[in-house]
Amino acid sequence: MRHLGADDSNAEPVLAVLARGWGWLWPLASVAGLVLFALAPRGEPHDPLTPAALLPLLALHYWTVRAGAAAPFILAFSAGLASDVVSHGPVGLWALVDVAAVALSAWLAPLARRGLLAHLAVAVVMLAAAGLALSLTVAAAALEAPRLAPAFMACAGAAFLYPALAAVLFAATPPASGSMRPGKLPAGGWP
Amino acid sequence: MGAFENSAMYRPRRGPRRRGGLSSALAPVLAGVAGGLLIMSLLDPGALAPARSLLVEAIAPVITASARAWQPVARTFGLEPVSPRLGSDAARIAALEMRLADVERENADLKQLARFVRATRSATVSARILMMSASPLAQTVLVNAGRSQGVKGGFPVVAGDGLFGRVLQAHSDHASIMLLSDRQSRVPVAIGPREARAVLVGTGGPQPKLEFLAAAQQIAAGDLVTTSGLGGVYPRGLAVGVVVADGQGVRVELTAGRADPLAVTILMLEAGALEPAESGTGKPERTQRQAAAAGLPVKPQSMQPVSSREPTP
Repeated sequence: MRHLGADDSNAEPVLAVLARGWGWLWPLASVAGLVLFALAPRGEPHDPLTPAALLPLLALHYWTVRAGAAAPFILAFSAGLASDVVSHGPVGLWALVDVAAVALSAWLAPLARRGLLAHLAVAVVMLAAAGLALSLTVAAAALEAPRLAPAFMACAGAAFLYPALAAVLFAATPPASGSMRPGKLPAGGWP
Repeated sequence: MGAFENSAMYRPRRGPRRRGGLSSALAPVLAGVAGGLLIMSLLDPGALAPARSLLVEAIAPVITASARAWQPVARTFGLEPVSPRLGSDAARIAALEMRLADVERENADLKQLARFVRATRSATVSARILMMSASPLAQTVLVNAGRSQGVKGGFPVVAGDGLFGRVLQAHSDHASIMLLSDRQSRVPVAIGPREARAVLVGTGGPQPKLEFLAAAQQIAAGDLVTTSGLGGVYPRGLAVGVVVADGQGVRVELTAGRADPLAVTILMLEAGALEPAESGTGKPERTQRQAAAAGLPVKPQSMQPVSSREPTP
């Protein structure tokens, strides 16, 4: 019986395969988990727009900046659609906001990769744009004046949560080639 | 700081970056699909109801599993809504149970005296809240009782001390409940001792507003608001809340909203099966509100139960 690590030359490919699988799964699992967290019962049932509702958007932003490819758009659309369906709200509201926010994140991703402050600043810009889009869409759908304050309060709360969320997502990203250093995407990248 | 900025978190990923082609084409396509669905859903909310029900049933195992996983986490970190009045509620319920026993005895005596024959029993279903809406355009919750428990669309739902909403859509083992605060919610109500008639309209916020209130009707802040029974959806006399006045008109602080409920009680009453409300201006009986507070249907002689199913834990 051979143990992993007994022979590094053979163990490394196994770890790399596991890391690659987790590298594919982790972004999907993190966004899906945050969608469920956003829908979990807590606090006032009459106040759906909370910082927690914006956490999936933040995870999508993180993965867009990190991976920057086509998959975040599909993931954003699917996550938004699932949220709309379970919420029994108008189908497409969160899907539209999520896709638009990811498009903005993808556009600003080169700027976000310049450093920590740039990364946080881009996240705040994305949140502000998402809050504005959400408020305007809700106002148009409900035929009423836009109520910006609740949306921006939720966005401000989410902005404070983003560094902690990004740190968790970063720390749990698997090593690329069997090394135990976190934070690297698998070789070949995320689709 | 410099070392952190040079970490893998901010370093561009090695390998071919497939941005541009597929992603630039996907974004407008998916945004267009989402926009189309949104417009369709707003123009005809019922158009996507079958697809929505299918999707909810498809992901129901995930919802149930995540709700079960969430409970210990929420309890550990204090995120689970817990009513600060649980202790007083327990004492109140104990008192109500004693009162109920007295009333049942008295009722049995009166029935015997009147030779009353009861066809069926009224029924309720208790359900746990699994999910809450994350949509700013919908104040709904998803509960773990559905068609298999006899739940149908339109059934009134109570929580804590008062009316919570009504069943919007019943799925196989789950049901979506529209709260009183939802923009689509309309509840005919009676206000105060004179039973002034109005319609409680959801605003999307925690305090719905009163509309169609006649100018001659005199109401005051603090007046109790109960269901009037008009329209046949809600039975008469269920506690709804109390009148509060602010700069934006007459609003209602919901009784159920104060409890942060984790569980609700669905009253198995078909819409239209209730008798029309009395047009008198008598004071609503306190026993009705107490019955509503205990999750029991009020005015049993006016209800037509649709099932004899006992409450499920």
